[in-house]
Amino acid sequence: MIKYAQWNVPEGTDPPLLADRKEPTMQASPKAAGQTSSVTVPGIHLEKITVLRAGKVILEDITVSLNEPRIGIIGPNGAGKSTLVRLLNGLVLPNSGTVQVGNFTTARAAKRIRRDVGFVFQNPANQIIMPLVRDDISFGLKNLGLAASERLRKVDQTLEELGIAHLAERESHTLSGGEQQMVALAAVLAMDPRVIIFDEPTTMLDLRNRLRFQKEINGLNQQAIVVTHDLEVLEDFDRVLVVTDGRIGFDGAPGDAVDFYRHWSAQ
Amino acid sequence: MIAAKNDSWLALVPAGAKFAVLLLVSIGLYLVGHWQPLAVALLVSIALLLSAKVALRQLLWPLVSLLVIVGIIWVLLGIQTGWEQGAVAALRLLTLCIFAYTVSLSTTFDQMLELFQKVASPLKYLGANPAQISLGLALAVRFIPELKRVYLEVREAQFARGLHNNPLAVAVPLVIRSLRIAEETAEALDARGYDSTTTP
Amino acid sequence: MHSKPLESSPEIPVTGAAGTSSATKDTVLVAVFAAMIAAMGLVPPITLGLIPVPITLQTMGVMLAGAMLGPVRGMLATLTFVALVAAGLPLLSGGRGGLGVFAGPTGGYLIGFIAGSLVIGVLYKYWVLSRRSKAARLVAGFLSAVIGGVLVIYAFGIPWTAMVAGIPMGTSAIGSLGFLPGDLIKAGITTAVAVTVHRSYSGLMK
Repeated sequence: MIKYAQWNVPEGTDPPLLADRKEPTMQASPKAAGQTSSVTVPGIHLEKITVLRAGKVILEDITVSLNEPRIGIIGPNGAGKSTLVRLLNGLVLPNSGTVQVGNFTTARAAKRIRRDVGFVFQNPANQIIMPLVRDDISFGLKNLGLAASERLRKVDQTLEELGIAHLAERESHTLSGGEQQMVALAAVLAMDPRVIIFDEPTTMLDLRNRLRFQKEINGLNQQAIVVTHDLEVLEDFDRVLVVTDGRIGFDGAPGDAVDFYRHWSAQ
Repeated sequence: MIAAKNDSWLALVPAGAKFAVLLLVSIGLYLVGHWQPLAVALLVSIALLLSAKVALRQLLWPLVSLLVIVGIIWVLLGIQTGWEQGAVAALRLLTLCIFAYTVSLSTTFDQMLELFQKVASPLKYLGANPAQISLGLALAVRFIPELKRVYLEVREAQFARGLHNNPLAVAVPLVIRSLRIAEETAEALDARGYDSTTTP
Repeated sequence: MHSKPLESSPEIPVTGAAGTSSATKDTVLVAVFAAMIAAMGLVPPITLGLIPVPITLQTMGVMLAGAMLGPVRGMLATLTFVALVAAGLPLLSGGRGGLGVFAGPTGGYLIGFIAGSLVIGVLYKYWVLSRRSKAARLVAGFLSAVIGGVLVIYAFGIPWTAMVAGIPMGTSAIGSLGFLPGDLIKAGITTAVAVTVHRSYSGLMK
């Protein structure tokens, strides 16, 4: 796999074709010193991952470590982005290769890993499980084995922190799309994960809710790995991967990744 | 037909006891063949309903439609087999329904679900998981408004494409979207650490 | 027509074969189809015949549960729906629900729903979906939907109405004949939907 940390395209020249790329030079991200400096990461490593579904190659021979506080994943529809992030908490298991999160591999300890890896899905409506907001946030805590009084405290605290305490007693189906996505985030945050994966979290939101949600992602104390079509989100990220045709086509700083993706898409 | 906020004496009676009494009453009513005792039973049921302090507004439409049905039955049977037999059938039906409504309106939805879970709990010896039963019921309640919304959305889209009288054009996307909702929700459950093999 | 929704979100990987729990997925499928049966009853009903049993798409939801999910999950979906009605949710036409419905003349049909979805599920799983040609599947599917969704449901509903209302069985049966055309149409739609969707979701009935 070709890994590009720094891939500057000189103005006025076309980016080189994939085959023409030179060996990459890895460079530490300068952004890590910003607001996300306090973030500790569990250490995620994918080793020679291949995923097949119904005889089709979805992801092919991917080896990558994901240790930056803010990582974006972009790419065309059907390239394998969703599958890639589902590998990280064992929702998808690889046909070959291993996924390691901290000291565990998803093949052996997916349930343990899911305590550390929270997941916010694209469609907020389908990830809210319980008829009442409070019960929904409590659901994950119950799975962690917390006592009722502890759950109650944790639910209130999380809703308070996200500024949505007023939603606690609402019925899930009466929430707007933006409110639903905030509740989904609250449900994940309440479980105190070390990493939160977002799979196109703002796709179904209007501009205002999108901006608010982006702010929440940027302010998280956890590592965040964000699949998105919303390229503006990535501006302050530490690293962005571009997934094309089941491979990591580009890996580097946000600006360069977006340039690569724009050029790739225009072809 | 759920108890809104009911603080009558009936609301304090355990749901299981109310169910048991209802079952006995329904059997008992079929053993009675004369209209006089049934009329007494009807008065008792009405007294019970009133003592349960239910919001009668909630009962208006069910009662009206019930009275229409009972009326039709009485007339139908009256013409066919005699008015007294018609009265027996009509009184029995009316009484039974009012008893049943009284139980429903003095029992909260949560109490009902709790009772069902208790009733279903012997199923664990057959391999069913009580935790899964309660999750299934909660999920179903959660997804009714969602599925209704999807249904209306799909119908609107097909109307926009001019497919007004094509039930297939609505049903196929509805089923496929239901399957997708199920898939995504199952993923979300897994992602949030739900383990179907453990009991709480 | 039916290919569109499938393509709309190609990135969601096929689950089940992966690290997700199949027991969890079964629970969710049961719940979602129970909700679908409920949602189908929340659209305006049509009333036919002398005995006032209103016609909604609800029976189609019951048939679909069996035809799509098979006997066990299909029946559990219907059972979940019936339990929610019994618990008091106003899910039947005209906002009816609660125990009064079971005491009333149409209560037998609700119980029949459970048996009907079971029978349709058995027939689809072991007979319909093993037919090779599409024509054979459609014929077998329609027969199965009629057996489970009409005969079985009526076999519960007609005697129940007769008993509860104190009318002769024949009168009750004649009364329910009014619903036959609607129910046959629903059996037809169910078949077309089930055969179409099973072609693209082949792993649905293991």
